[in-house]
Amino acid sequence: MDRDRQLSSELSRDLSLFHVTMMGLGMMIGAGVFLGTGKTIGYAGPGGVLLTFALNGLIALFTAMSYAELSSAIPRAGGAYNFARVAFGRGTSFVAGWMEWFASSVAGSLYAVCFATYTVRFFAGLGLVPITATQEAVAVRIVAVLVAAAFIYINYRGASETGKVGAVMTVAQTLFLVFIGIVGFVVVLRDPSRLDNFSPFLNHSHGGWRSLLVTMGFTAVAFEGYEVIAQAGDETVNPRKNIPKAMLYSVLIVTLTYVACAFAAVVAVKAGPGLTIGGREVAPWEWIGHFGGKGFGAAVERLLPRGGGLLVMLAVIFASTSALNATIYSATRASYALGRDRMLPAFFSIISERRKTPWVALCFTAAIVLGVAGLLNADQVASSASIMFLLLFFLVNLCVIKIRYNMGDELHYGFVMPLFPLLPVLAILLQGLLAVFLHEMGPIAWVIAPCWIGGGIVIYRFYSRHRAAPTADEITVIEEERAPGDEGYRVMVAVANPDNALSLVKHTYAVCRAKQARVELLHMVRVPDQVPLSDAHKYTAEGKEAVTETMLYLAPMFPLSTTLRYCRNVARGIVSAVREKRVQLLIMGWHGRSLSSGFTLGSTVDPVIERVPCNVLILKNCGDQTFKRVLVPVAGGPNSVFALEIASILADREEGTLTAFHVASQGGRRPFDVDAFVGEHLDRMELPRTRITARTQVARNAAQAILAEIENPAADYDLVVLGCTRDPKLYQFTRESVPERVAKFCAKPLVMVKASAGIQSFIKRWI
Amino acid sequence: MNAETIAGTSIVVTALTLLVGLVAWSRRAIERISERDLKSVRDIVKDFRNGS
Repeated sequence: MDRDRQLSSELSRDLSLFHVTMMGLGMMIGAGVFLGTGKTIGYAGPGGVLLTFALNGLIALFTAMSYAELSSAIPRAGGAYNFARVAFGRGTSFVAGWMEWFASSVAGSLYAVCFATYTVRFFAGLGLVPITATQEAVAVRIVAVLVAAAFIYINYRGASETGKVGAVMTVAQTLFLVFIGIVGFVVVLRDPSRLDNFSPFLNHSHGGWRSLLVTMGFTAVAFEGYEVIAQAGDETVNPRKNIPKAMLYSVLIVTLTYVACAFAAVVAVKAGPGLTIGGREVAPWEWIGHFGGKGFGAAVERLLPRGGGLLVMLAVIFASTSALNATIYSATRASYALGRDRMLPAFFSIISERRKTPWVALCFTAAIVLGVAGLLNADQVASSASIMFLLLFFLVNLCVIKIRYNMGDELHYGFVMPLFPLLPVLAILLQGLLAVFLHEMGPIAWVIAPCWIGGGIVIYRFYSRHRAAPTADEITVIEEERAPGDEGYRVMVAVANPDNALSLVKHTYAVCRAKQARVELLHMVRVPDQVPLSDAHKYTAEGKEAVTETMLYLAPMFPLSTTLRYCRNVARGIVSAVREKRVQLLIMGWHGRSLSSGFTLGSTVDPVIERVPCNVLILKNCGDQTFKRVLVPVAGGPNSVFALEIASILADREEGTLTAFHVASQGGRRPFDVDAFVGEHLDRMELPRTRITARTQVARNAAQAILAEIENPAADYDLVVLGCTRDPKLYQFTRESVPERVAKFCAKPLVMVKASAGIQSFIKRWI
Repeated sequence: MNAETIAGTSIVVTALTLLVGLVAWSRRAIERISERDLKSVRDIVKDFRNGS
C-alpha cells in the first residue's frame, strides 16, 4: 500500500528554463573543449578545428531539434527510452533505456576521474607533499570516488539542488571560456599578423578536408547535452516550452563558445623561433597540436601568461564536476523510467517522499559510477559510452519521424522542427558516419558496447518482456481468430458498430468476390484516456456485435479472420493493424461529416488515408443498395484508375453503367482524353466497354462542376466513386482539395478511393 | 588568402549563421505554439502555413 502510494507520486517540478539550459550546457562543456581542441588542431589543422566545431554544432542541432520536438510532446523522465517506447514498442525502448543508463553512468565516472586527475596533479605540482607516481594513481582513484559520491549525494538532495549546483558551476566555466574567446579576438585586433596562424587552413598530412570527418567523430560526444535535458521533463516548469528551448539554446551557446575558444587557442601562440618540437621550428598550430589533449591549456597559458594555467585547471575542475552532476542525474532518470514501466524491478521507481528523488535508481547508478571510477580503466569504456550515445541519437531521429507520422494528430506538441523530415534524415546519416569514425578511434568500444546491449537483450527476453506495464499509447489485441491459410489478396474491413457493419458488408462482398480475397474483420475498441486499459473489456460489446453481424454474411463465402483490439486512437490502431496483417485493401465507413477542426473528412478518416500503406475504400451512405448509374470523376493518375476499377466492381453486373467524368480547366494547356484513359485501363474493369461512357466538361471550378453533375437529374446517378487528392500535403493543409470538397457536399452514396503507390507504400509499411 | 581558407571560412560562417537562424526560428515557433494553444502537428503546420 505504502509502495503504491510512493510509486504514484510525482517528481517535484521546480527546474526553470535557466536551470535546464545550464544542465545541458554543463554536460557538453565537460571535457570537449579542453581535451578536444588540442587534438583537433593537431589532426585537422588550425582552420579544421573551427570547421569541426561549427559543423558538429550544426549536426548536433539537427538531433537536438528531434529531441526538442519529442520532449515537447512526451515530457516525461526517460528521454530516448520514452521516445523509443512510443515509436517502436517495449523491446527497442528497453534497449534504448538500458544503453542510456550505461552510457550516462560511465560518462559520469569518466568525469570524476578527469576531475581527480587534474586536482591531484595540481596539488602534486605545488610540491607541498612529496608523492610518487603510484601514490598519485591511487590518490586519483580515491578522489574520483569521493567526488562521485559527493555528487551522488547532491543528486539525492533533489532536483532543485541538482539544477542549482550545476547551474552555478556551468555559469562559471562558460564565463571563463567566453572570456578566453574575447581575449583571442582582442589579441587579433592588436596584432593582426596572428591570423597568419591559420595558414595552412587544414592539415594536409591527414588528408585535408577528409581529416574533418575523423575530428568530427571524436568531438561529437561533446555536443550531447540535450540528452540530460530530455531527462528533466518531469521536473521542469512548463516543460512543453522550456525543454525544447533549453535544448536549442544549449547547443547554440556551446557551439559559439567552442568556436570562439578554438579561434583564441590558434591565435594565442605567436609564430617565431621559440616554437620548436625536438629542436625543429614549427608553426603555432603544430606546437599546440603536439600537446594533444592538453593543447588548449598550453595555448591559454600563452594567451594569459599570468595565471592562465591555474585558470584552465580551475575551469577543468568546474567542467568535470558539472558534467559529472549532469550525467549522474541523466543516468538516474534513465533507470527510474525503466523501473516506472516495470522494465526493471518496480523498486527502481520508488521516490523518496522527503526529497522527491528516485533514490533506489540513484543507488544502482551510483554502484556503476563508483565501480567504474574506482576500479576500471575508464578510457575504453568511455568510448563505448560515446558509441552508445551516437546509436541513441540515431534511434531518436528515427523516433521523431515515426512518432510525428503516426501520432502527430494525437500528441500535444510544444515545438515542431522545420524542414521535416530532411533534418532528422540528415542527422541519421551523419550519426552513422560518426559512429564508424569512432570505431576507428577505439575498436574495443565495438566489443564492449555490443556486450552491454546483448546483456540488455537477454534481460528483456527473460525478465522485462512479460512484466512491462502497458502504456497509454500501446495497442493491444483482445481477441483474435485466424482463418487457415495465409495466401491471397487481403481485404481488411474496419467495422465501428452493427449499423456500420451492415452498410459495409454488401459492398465488401462485391469487392472480395472480384478480388478472390480473404477477409480480415477488425474492430478497434477506443478506450477513453481517463479510463485505465485494464477496464477496456467494458467497451467491447458493441464491437463484438458488429463483427458477428459481418461474419454472418462473409464467413460462408470467404476465408475470414477477426480481430478486436483496444487503443487510445482508432486511426492509429487501424494503421497498425493494416501494417501488421499486410493487407492490400482497407474498407471502412465514414459518417459524412468532420467533427474535428483541422481535419477534412474527420479525425479518423484523414490519418488513415494518409498513412495506410495499401489501397483504401471509404464508404459514405452506401447502405445495402444496388448501384446502376455510377459517376467517376477522373483527373488521371493512380487514384482515378483505381476509382474506375472499384466503380466497375460495385456497379450492378446486369444493368450497371459507369460514367467517367473529367472537368477541364478553362484555357488548360494539356487536354486530357478521358476516352483514351478509360480504354487504356479497360483490362482492370469488370464492366464491358459498351457500358462505360466518357465525358469532359470545361469549367472554372472543378468541385462545383462535379457537384452539379452529381445532381444532374437526367443522369440520375446513384453512386459516386471518387479518387482522393494527390496534392502535396502542405497544399492540403492550406486549401481544401477538389475530391475532399466534393465528398463533403455530395448527398448521394459515395466511395472515396486511394490507390497504394509503389515506393511511398513501401516506406509507409516501415515507418 | 587562398581558396581553401576562403572556402573554409565561408563554411564556418554559413554553419554558424544557419545555427543561429534555426534556433531563432525555433524560438519564435515555440512562442507561437504556446500563445495560440496549438496542439497537434496538423494544427501547427496549418497555422504556420497560413502565416497570420
